Amino acid sequence: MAADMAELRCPMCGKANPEELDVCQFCQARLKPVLPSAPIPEDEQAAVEGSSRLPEPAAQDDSLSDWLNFLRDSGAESEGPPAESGGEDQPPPAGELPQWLERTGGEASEPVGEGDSQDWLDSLRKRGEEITGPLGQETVPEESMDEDWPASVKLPDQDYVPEWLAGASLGDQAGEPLAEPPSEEESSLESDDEPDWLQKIRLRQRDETEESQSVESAPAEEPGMPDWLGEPASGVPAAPDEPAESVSDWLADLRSGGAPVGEEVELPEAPATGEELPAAEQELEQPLEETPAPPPEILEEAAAPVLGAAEEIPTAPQISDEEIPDWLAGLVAGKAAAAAAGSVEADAESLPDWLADLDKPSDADSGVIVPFGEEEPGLTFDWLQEQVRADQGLAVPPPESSEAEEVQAEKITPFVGDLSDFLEEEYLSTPEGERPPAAQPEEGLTPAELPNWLEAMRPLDAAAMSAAVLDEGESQIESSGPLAGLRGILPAEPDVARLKKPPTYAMRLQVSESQQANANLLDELVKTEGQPRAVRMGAAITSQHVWRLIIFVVLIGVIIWKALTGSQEVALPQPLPEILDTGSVIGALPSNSVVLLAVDYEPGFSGEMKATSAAVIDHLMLKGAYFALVSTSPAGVGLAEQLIQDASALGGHQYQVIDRYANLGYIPGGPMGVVGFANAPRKMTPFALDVDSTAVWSREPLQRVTRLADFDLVAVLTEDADTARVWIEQVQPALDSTPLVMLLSAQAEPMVRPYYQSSSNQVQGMVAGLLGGGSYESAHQDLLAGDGPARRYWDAFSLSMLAAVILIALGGLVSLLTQALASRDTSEGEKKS
Amino acid sequence: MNYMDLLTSQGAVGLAFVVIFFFLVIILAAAGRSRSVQNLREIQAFAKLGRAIGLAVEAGKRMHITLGWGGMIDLRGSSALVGLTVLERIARLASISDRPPVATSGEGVLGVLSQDTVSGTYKSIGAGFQYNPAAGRVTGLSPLSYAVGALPVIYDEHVSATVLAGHFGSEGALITDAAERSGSLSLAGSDSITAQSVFVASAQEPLIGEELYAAGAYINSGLIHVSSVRAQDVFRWVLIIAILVGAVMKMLGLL
Amino acid sequence: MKAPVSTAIAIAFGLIVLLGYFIPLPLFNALRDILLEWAIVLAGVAVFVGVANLFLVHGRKISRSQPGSGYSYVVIIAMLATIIVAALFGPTGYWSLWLFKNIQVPVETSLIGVLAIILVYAAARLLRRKLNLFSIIFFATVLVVLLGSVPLLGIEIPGLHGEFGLRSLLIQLPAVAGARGILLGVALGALAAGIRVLMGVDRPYGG
Repeated sequence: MAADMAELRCPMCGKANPEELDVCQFCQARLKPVLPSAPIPEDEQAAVEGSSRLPEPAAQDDSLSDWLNFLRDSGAESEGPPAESGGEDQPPPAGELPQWLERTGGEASEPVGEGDSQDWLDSLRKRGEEITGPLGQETVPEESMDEDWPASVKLPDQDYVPEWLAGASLGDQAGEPLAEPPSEEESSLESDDEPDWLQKIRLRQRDETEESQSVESAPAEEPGMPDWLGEPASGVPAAPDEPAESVSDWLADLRSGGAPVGEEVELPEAPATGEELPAAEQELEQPLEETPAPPPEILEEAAAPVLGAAEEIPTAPQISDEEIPDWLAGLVAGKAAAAAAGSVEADAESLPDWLADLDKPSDADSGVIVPFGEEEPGLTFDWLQEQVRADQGLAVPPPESSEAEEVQAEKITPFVGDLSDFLEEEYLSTPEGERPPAAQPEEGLTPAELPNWLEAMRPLDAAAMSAAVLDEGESQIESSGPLAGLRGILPAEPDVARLKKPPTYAMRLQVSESQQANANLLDELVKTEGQPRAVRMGAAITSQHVWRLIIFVVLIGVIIWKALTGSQEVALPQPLPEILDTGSVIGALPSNSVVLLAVDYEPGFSGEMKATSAAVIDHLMLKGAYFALVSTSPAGVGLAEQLIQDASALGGHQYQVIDRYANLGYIPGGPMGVVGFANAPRKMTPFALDVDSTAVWSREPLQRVTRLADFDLVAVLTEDADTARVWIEQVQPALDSTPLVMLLSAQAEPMVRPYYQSSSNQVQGMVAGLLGGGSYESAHQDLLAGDGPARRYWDAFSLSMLAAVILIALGGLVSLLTQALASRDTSEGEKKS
Repeated sequence: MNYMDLLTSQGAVGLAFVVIFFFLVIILAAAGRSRSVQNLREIQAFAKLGRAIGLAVEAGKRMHITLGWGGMIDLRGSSALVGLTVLERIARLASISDRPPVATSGEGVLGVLSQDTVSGTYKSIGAGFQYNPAAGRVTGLSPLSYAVGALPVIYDEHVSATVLAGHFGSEGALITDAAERSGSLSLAGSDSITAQSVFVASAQEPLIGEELYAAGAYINSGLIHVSSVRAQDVFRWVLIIAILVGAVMKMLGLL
Repeated sequence: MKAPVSTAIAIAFGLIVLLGYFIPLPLFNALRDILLEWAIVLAGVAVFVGVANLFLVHGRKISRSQPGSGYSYVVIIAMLATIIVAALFGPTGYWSLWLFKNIQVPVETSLIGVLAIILVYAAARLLRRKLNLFSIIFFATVLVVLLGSVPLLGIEIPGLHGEFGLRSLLIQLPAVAGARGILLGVALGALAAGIRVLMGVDRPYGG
């Protein structure tokens, strides 16, 4: 709330401004109206009453009020001094500028009384006339001019030089010579405050002073009237008289009489040279700001509604002094005559109506404030438009649609950026019936005619236009401030209190196609992130499965075939040295020898180990050996038991536990257990596993065994090379002369052979794998009746071995071919690329 | 006591061997502390192991470390120690995985030690709550039963890589074959010659010889691991020289 | 430091066992033997720990109705049945051996059969997985050793089979030598791992 309280809303554009500003920072409109009730200092009232005040262009904040003040003052000058104002304006002393002109030095304009409201209005009208005239428009017939023009406006004398042109004070009497150009000091002071256009005009007038000789001097002007218009109205301070030389030709024509009605008149030439006048006229047209004059193009565009939108506004031609329009000259002469007669009603035939009405008492004289546009229809510029159109034979556009058409034609959009298209589309897309109603002028009232340049500067709001601008029914006449009397002004005060529909903005995002595509892509990515991707399952049957199946079928097929047929066609291998040595060792054993049999292989290798050791066990059984069974693996206990029973059954030896063998059980600790057993076998295995005879060490033949060396033979059955090495390395040192024989799986042979072949001769005999078992059987044909396990397995074993070799070779060959083909494809692909 | 006999005995030579190795490790560790990068021979298996750990964590899969069936009280325990070192390192690196690593073994002591290793690792990183006793399990008490018992872990527990580090026999081929069937990486090393020959044919990344014992150095287990590998290299050359000199002397009849 | 007490115990006991192996002093030997006996007992207990862990894992799987919990039912039932039977009839009793002979052995034997097929497939796809010089050498060596393992249809090919054939030569020389070298490296690695434990750098026992 505090923030709102500190802000001011601009009456023109509706935007918020800081409180301390006097002029809107966006549209430069005045924020703080000039209060009409503010008392005017007494010393300034004379200047106010007797002069047509020109806006003081020094401060930008007062620029708006300056030109209005100027207009007001020019009107008040023609009417005479206002009621509340005291005293008549005294002509400024020689050498001094008129007060109205002094005020162009930049000081804030003095608050103007209400009685002066009509003055600026008159000035507006004059200003409009000035605009239309020099721009090449056809002049308004005298009659219409006479009708519309307030009576207070008096035509200047022939010799009258407008104050704003010559820089003369308004307080001067008509015909009085222009005041001397201000001193350099004064000019330097004032030139800083004066607008550029005014300075140029002064310079021009100074130049023309010497030239103009033929200009008829206008009758004495009444005080209060602009010089260029001739004698001011009663009560209006007379414009200063100007030397005849300084009045432009077109003004001279004014005094001599107006042109006949209907006669096309070219644009009057400016008082100065023709090429300077448009610039000067243009400079006059910038009342709001101390900005450079709008280019002629803008002026032409601004003047377009006056003539009609379709018409091209011809540029201001260069008019020579000889081409002063007759109507203007006639106007001046007629007015001068009327003014001399003291009658407002001049020669109606010679004077345009608007000029004829100049002397008529207006409402402003009586102190009644008439809203702008309501005093008389002729007071607006519409009369001028109509007259011009009528002369040209053009259709007069309906006034109520002029502004709407103008808006539509120009398609002024109140928005900037991307939203403007949307709102513009929305406004245009709405049916005409739903659109905000255009401003409807009241009957009998001519809508306010703003200058074109002002019209162009007016901020348009699609919503506000209908409500606040276009709807003339709701428009109200401003009652205070610099725009007092004007209709259609955006109310500042009511706007603050009135709920105003805020401008709507499009909610639709402006996105391009590429942006939309990227957004869609991102959306898909996000959606797919939470969706699990289907795992592509591999083929159920791959080359792995095929190869495994082939190998299985071949190997199993061969073995089953040979097993079922029971063929023994393949000869057993010849005995190897280690086989013979083993046989020798066993053969050298005494009868009833005690053999330590260490069974340290896994149950899975029992088939191979059975084939490997069956003949050796049978040989030992034939020798009558007593077996002491031990194992360093938990499963070895059962394997040892199974081995003896199978060998006994196979050889028919009837080996019974306790009588012929003792199972000493499991030796834990691995190598440490072997070392401990080697050092103290009774301590490591104190009991036998047989429930009937646990105290085996106290019975024969183990009774005499106290250490490992007391055994007659140590035979180790294992499939693991490390276990074999442990037994060899840990037990052999404790054996002394006791032989050590290794019964191994084929996979452990390479690691144990060095122990057999070394000079240390740690192993005295070795039988390895099915080959060793078969070789042992072939060397001792009397063992197992020549039909030992090795003999039965030998054919299947040899054929399956051959099949395995063939399968391995075939697989290697296929792998090589596959690699070669793949590398060739890769090289071809690289070549192609 | 005859101290001369004592000093010249085989035991003394062996003791000196051990003592020299010990001090060599310390010296090399002190010298290697100043190095920022330890230059070791590239072993592709360990490079793939590091990548496999990362992939397992990212894919939410499990690392499987199998320690074999060799006990801790014999020579086979040394490879099991290396396996436990690898387990500790993998457990530390893969602790953030949705599925923590699991260790299988074929021996009771190894089973207990594997549980202790995982538990201690999680406690050291402040994630003691993540420890699960099933992280270290005994799958069988015999080599083949252990190998077969480890197969369901590979097939059913979303294993992305299997590391075989310990004592194995030929049954190690069952584990590597299962890893190949399941499409996971198999990195195998053992102190057993038989297992090494099987791993060369069946494993994707076999470790030959003493490469398994260098695992600690390659997986950044510490400076001592690197220095011990360097000490092994030094002593290897010493042994090579000793063998050559002995062979020459034998040929010359001096021995 | 994480778990300082555990670290101190580990370092102390490790040094004692190490010194006991290398310094033949009675004190160290006695301490070493005691500690090793404790380790052996703990290793035996570890089997029970493993059984308990297995039971808990599958029990948790059943309670949470995780995928594959049906197999967990089989595991737990079989475990309980074996424990009960072995407890009743002894580890070498008839029914215990019956379970072992007719269930465990066939199951594991079949797994070894599957392993054979897997290894053959792996060898066949080796060159497809990685094709380089060492893969080709490995591939060729596999073929030679397999071919030289058994006589081809009863026929021993000279130069391939026999004591001095290509297979024996490959096994005894490059394979064994390479294996030795790998084992040396493994031994050094094991030494380094042990040193790190004694230094307290590796603490698998961290709480």
